[in-house]
Amino acid sequence: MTSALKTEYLTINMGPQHPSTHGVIRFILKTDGEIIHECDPDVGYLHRGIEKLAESITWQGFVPYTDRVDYVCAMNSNLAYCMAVEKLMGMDSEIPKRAEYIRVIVSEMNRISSHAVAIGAADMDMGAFTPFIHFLREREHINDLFEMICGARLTYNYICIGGVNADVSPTFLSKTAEFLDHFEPIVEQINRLISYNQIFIKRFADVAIVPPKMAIDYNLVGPNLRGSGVKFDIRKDKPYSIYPEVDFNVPIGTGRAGTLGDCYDRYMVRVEEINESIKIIRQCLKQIPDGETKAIVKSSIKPPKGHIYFRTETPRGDTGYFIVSDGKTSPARLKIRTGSFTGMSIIPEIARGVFIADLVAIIGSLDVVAPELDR
Amino acid sequence: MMGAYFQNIKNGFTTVFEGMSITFATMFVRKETVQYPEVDITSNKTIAEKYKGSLMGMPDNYRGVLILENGLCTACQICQRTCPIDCIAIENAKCDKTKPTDKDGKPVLNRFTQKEAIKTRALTRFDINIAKCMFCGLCEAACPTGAIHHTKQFEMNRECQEDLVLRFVSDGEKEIAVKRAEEIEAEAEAKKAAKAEKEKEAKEKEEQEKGAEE
Repeated sequence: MTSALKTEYLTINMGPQHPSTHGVIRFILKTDGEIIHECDPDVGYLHRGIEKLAESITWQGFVPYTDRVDYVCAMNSNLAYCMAVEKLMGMDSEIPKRAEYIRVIVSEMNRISSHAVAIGAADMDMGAFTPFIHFLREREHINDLFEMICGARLTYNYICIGGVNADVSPTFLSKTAEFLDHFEPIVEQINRLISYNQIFIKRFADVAIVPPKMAIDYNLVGPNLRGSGVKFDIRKDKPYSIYPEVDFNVPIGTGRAGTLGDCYDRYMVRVEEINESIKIIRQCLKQIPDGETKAIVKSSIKPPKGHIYFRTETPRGDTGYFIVSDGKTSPARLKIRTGSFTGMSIIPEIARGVFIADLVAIIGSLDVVAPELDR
Repeated sequence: MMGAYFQNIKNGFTTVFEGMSITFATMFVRKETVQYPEVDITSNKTIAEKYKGSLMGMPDNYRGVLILENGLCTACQICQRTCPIDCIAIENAKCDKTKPTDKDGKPVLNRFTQKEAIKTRALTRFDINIAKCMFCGLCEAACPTGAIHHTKQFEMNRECQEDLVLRFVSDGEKEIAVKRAEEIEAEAEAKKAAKAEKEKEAKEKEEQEKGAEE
């Protein structure tokens, strides 16, 4: 009897040009009515072979390429690569203190702008377009500040091996403080606009629950992992740069609107991280010392033979750079491990049995960025 | 049961009006949109003429299209080697030993060694392909005399692909440089030949003297 009533699954494509896939990602869905039976992500549409390109260009020449790995938070990508190379050369203790502070200030600023885009895009996927516009308006101010110090609005190439490319002016520091005073109330305002909205909460709560154990099993990182209630932040647990000297909390998911580890938890972790970043920048602006901003580095460096794996906390989780050096002017092998990729790999598991409309919520809450996913 | 139903309806209404209150409030906030072609965004001052928002104009260190100051360039090819995507093409030829000067006539210093820059080769070709360029600023940072630098120009539409290659050495300049290089080479060869002849004569003389002694 059951075989006679067997229904066929309908295979449909979602993407690569779907507006909610944030770039070009394709999902092959097997659907039973409106319910997803199987979801198969197809990645690689934005693959540019950046890891292979590294093998043919100089160590310093690769820094602008790291901007393109994740253009929503280019400063953090720059920082991850430069710190890895410095560690490989054994010069990580020579970096001037002022440069370290500037690095943390700019990367936390970039974290704010990246989370603003992530939150805004998640809202937009849910049908609320207004918060996205509000966040983009605020992001323009951060872009303006970055343009002031490095001359570019998106692909900065500001952090370099040995420090930073240019010193920051006192105007930049005062304008940053001004911006933080202006931005802090706006976070709460946008929370009132969307995050505490009952309709939005009902839409996000209890969707795509990732229990803590599953999050660790699937190797989720960053806000996605913390959204599942696992308190792990590389800035706290494996500190680098000047993070041990600043005081901040690590927000985790607590099941605010429903179950621990649902979409709303991951979303709210990002909102709270914005506030923590503001706190970090305020402390750095107070503590920043005077002095040099770049250690003496040769124009063409040759790190000693060996390999290194170094990871930093970027807005999309921990970004790790594995670099093999054979003592020549360019890396022998370079591998980038990104948070978007692990976020993507859990989608087939959590998207089983949900509505197609909820898949959009899942992608939005996992904050997948296509260029970082494919490299 | 019925109470929860009406509670939900009430929640739906209040939460919508909460959000709408913020949306309406922003109608009276200063507009931040820059009406780009009408507003001149190239500097802090020009943007303030027509624009009332809080965004700033372009800073002085904006990384736009690259430009070369031919007078400062010593054709050292450092920028070509630094460029990660090879968008700069340089060819050079020998020239007379000169010291490049800036606009005020002062000699240009090498930024890294603080010595006067010396030019021994002239450019015969200096092309920048702005279609390839990714505006990273590495060439500008590496240039010892500050000849290559970014401008504030950011509008890069051209009619055809050939126009996207900026040529800083004209055909006439190239011809002059090549001619001069040939002359220098000829002079050097003439010198060499004269020197060889002198040596030959000296040798012959020596031999003759030796022969006379014997």
